[in-house]
Amino acid sequence: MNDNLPGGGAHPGDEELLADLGRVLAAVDPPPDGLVERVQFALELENLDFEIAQWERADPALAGVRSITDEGTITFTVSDLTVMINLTRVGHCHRIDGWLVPAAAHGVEVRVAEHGSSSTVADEGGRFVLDDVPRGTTQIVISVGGASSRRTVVTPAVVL
Amino acid sequence: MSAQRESRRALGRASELRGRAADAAGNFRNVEAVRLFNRALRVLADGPDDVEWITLRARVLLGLAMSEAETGSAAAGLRHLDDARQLTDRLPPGPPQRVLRALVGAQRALVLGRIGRLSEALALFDEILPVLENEADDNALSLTRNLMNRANINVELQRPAAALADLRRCLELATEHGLTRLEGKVRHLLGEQGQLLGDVPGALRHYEQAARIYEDAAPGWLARLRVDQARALLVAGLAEDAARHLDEVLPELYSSRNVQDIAEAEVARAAAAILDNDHGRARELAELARRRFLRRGNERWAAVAALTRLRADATEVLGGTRRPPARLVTGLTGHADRLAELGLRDEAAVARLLAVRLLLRRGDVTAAEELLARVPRPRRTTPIDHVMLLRLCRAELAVATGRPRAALAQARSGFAELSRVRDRMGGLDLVCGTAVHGQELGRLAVGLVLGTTRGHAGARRLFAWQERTRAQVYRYEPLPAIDDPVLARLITEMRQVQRLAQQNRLDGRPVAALEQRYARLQREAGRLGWYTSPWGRPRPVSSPEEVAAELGERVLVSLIGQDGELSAVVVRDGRFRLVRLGGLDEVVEITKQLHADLNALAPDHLPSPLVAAVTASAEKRARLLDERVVRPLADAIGDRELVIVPTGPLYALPWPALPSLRGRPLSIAPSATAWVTAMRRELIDPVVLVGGPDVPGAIGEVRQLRAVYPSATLVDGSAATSSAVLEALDGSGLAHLVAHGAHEPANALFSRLELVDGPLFAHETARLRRPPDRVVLAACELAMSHIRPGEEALGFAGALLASGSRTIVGAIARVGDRAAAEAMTDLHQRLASGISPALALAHATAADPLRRPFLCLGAG
Repeated sequence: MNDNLPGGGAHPGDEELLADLGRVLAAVDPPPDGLVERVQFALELENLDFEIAQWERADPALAGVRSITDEGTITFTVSDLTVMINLTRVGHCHRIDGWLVPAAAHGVEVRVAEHGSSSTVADEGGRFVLDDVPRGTTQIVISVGGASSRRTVVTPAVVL
Repeated sequence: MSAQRESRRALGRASELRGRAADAAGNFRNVEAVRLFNRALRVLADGPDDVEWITLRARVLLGLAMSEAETGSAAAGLRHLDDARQLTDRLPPGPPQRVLRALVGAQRALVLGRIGRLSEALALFDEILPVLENEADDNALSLTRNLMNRANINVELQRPAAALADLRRCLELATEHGLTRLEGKVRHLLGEQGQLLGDVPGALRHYEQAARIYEDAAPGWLARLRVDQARALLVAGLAEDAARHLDEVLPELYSSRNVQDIAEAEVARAAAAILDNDHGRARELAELARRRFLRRGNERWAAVAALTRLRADATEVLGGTRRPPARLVTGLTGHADRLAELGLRDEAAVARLLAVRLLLRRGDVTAAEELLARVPRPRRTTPIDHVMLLRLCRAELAVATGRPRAALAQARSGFAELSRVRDRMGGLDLVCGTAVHGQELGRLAVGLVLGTTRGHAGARRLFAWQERTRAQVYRYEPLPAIDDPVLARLITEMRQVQRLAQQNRLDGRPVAALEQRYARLQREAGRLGWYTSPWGRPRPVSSPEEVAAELGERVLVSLIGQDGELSAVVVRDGRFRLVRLGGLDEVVEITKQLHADLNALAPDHLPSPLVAAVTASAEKRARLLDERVVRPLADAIGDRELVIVPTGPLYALPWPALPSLRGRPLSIAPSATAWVTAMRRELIDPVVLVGGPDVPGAIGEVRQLRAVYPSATLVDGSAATSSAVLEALDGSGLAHLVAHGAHEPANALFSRLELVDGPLFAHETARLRRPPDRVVLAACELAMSHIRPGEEALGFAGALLASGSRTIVGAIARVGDRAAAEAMTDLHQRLASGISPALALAHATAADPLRRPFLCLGAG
């Protein structure tokens, strides 16, 4: 900035230029929808000592399924644990069918922004079901070895 | 001189403002109209008090009265009309005075009609219309418009014949004088009139004609039209479609601030919510609407809204196990009296009938009986849902007084009445939807018989009732469809949008806007597909003996889910037997889990630890289902070939995956009647092989099949467009289609198969002249169905079966490309050697039942 120029602040054209630039950026590369909400949502987790699982995005060409609507199944992994979920829309909610590998009776909690959370325990085969999960920004929290365990794995917050 | 010029200018200015205001009002922008009319009045505040000035001022007041009555209070509107009437006293006696007074009277009648004071309105119109007839303006505008307004009152007073007479005259006048906007409104009202007579397809046709006119001439009226269309869909039992329509149109109505239409839309939306068991939402909307009507001074509609709220309460209580509270009964009976006072005869009957059901549930049989005696017999205009409710009440009373035979007689009559309504419907959706009105009566009848079933005769009777109450859509001999160019254009556009969305999806580009557009097109296309022509000629339900005879060596298992219990009627060698299988909920839940397992297991490249985990889960669940469903039937079914008629969520059950059914030939049918019909079709020869785009295994699969069927017609590569495929399918004997598929749960007739120019919809296959005898759908999910009330199952395979295909082989879940290709090669080698589809498929799936989730539907 040049304080010597008339009008104080920036060069007369600068502010306009910056505003234009802002508009261009907002149009060309805006922050993703709901980014702020997702960050806030993630920060709400009480226990900050957790591992974050990676979202394994399937390559549609490699899925090898005779369907184009391949959005129902999502897989997350962390070093030695895989979480796969399958979503079924039921009215305004989701039914979540899930599989944990390696299989064990881990605790499963599903948090949905602004809707609290619901939880269950997988069966010994690592299979779990959560019904009537509201749709929205969702995160799955796995308590490895059950609710009393000290190891917690979380998935990234995804909009389901 | 200058004063005269000034007053000329004022007249001109006011006249221009009035024109703009009238235009706004005519296009449903009443808030703006009120503002413009008021400005015109201010311009006319002082004037020369001559004929021209008085007439213009009165006409401005007429317009203002209506616009204010629409958006604010009817009382204020009527006051403006009093002022206008006083103005006419200043005119010299003669034709201009008579016409102006007639117009004031007509506008008063219109305002009165809009707030439900119908008989006053009708009397006024009867008095005024002869004046307008004798002294009509050149273009007959006032006459046409007010004839139409009277027709509207006649519709509301449920006088269909009088309404029709007015409307026919209106239509003549409107077309003769080129009054396009009025023509639209007349057609719109013809829709209302048709709906009054229960002619839903006719009503929808008129509404669509009105919509075409409104789109150009009066777009503001479209929202109102959509509300009426939604009401027709509700009558046809299509609650989900009606709800989608209303949700789409409500925001627009709110911004228009047309209180009457907003509140009517809310009442309709509440009714849809009741059908969807969302009673809280229904109460909320009905109460909002009631208050809006009261503020407008529309007591009739306020009473209808209040009934809707009570209906939500009653339906909720009746659906639960709690004893109905006494105050709900008194609330309903009190409100019934009020409705009767207002002349709302059918509504009063509904309130009383609901009270009857509640009284019976409370064990107060005498009071119920007395109240039921006060409900009058239905009239010609009584809607079908009311008729069925009356039958249900009579049947429930009969049960409560220990007369089960009388109850069943009521159910039988009710279903006959429902069939007559259904026979008139066009399109699979409408035919299917009507079942919702018979749902409870069917449950009552089947429950009544089930409770007392003993031995062969009882089981046979139970089976007959099942056939009478389920999957009636499969009972029709489809009539040739009338070509509808508008529908064809919409389907083409849907195909293009879906194709584009698919490309974007693959390229990782956003698709939200395209998906929205697609949903809108789908709604529009659906609306059109509903009425083009009656769906078909009804066929009688097959008798138990006919079914038994057709079965031969086969065994039929017809499942019943009733009051939380699963049972099955087994038909074998002409004998009927009831087997009780235990708790329904658990079987349904395990089926859902197994279904999810199969979906998760489908991808060819799933990492092996996941494959192992999901396979273990699926095997466990298949075992559990085997224990609960098949083992108890083991004696009854032996090792015969099976025909299974599923129930509700068990339509998703992958039977061949259950260990004791592995390798056993079986076919799935929506009803025994549907199976018998499919069995009797004549088979023809030509084979068609279709290969859709982007399926890696397609080329190999189709080439292999070429070897099996050397003379087959091949449609693949860039030639596999939807029109080429439809043409090849028409009249073919065996069609094999390899492509990506998708089941559309919300709107099963738009389930689809992806072709090179976009998707081919189930909707389109339902309109083939001669659908293929046997179809193999080597794609995902296309054997899945959306189950509507009354076990009306529809999906891609279902649409083909309903339109006359004999056998469909399709997947009940997602399926891997490689697994599908292997299964299909297997299947066709056996088929070509002359083995039946059920047996051929049984061998083909047995190799790997969890990854080959194919079912044989129809006649195996």
